[in-house]
Amino acid sequence: GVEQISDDQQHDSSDDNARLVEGVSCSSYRFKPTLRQDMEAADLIISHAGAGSIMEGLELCCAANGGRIKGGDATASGDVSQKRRKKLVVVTNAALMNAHQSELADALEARGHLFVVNDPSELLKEETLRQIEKFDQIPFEGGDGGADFAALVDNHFGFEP
Amino acid sequence: TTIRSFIRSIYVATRVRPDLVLCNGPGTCLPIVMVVFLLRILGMADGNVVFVESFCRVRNLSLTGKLLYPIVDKFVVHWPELLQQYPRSQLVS
Repeated sequence: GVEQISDDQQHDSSDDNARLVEGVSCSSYRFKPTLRQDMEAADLIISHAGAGSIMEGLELCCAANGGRIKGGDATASGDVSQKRRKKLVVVTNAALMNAHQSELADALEARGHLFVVNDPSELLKEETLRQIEKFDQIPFEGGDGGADFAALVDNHFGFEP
Repeated sequence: TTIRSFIRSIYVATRVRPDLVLCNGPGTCLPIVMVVFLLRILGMADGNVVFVESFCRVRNLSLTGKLLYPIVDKFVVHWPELLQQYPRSQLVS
């Protein structure tokens, strides 16, 4: 089950309204300088499929980050202390530039690094939520900080490492 | 504005005479790369160019990438799917 939702809103004029919706405490905000803290605290990140958001989400889902799900789920394996990994769900927007977001999102999903949803309305379907729950995310271990890029450029000039 | 950036690029490139230019697209890098190649032909600079394609490009290249692929010294991609189509490119993680 979900206990807490925190989301950033695009169109609502009211700022920072915490409320209880069907037993889940929700809060929302229009802008924050960085979403990193919220993303670090979260067990499940549902994001738009922008490249920057995806990369940040993947980074948080891999770097020693396995959010322990609070309380444990009685219908799961029964092991309350089971440490489950942070999950990343992205929602693509096909209206943007030839559905270019899908290219990256689908490629990462094919490798098991995130879960793609193609329309926000899909998130309202129970079937989708079950799939997300069952989804076993593979952490994305890419990005070594550019060491191989540096090596590539050095190599071009004939510098030995 | 392309013409303006072209002229500006001439100004910058002839002052700097770069040995190496790193670009990651988008099309804004085209004037600089064109000018640097001109300088190379004129023997005025080493002007090696390394182009890094966007991480978002999995199956095909951006327009800038397609234009520059035949020309640049090193063409870097992030996805193995592109290596087949563009054998001159190199993969980084």
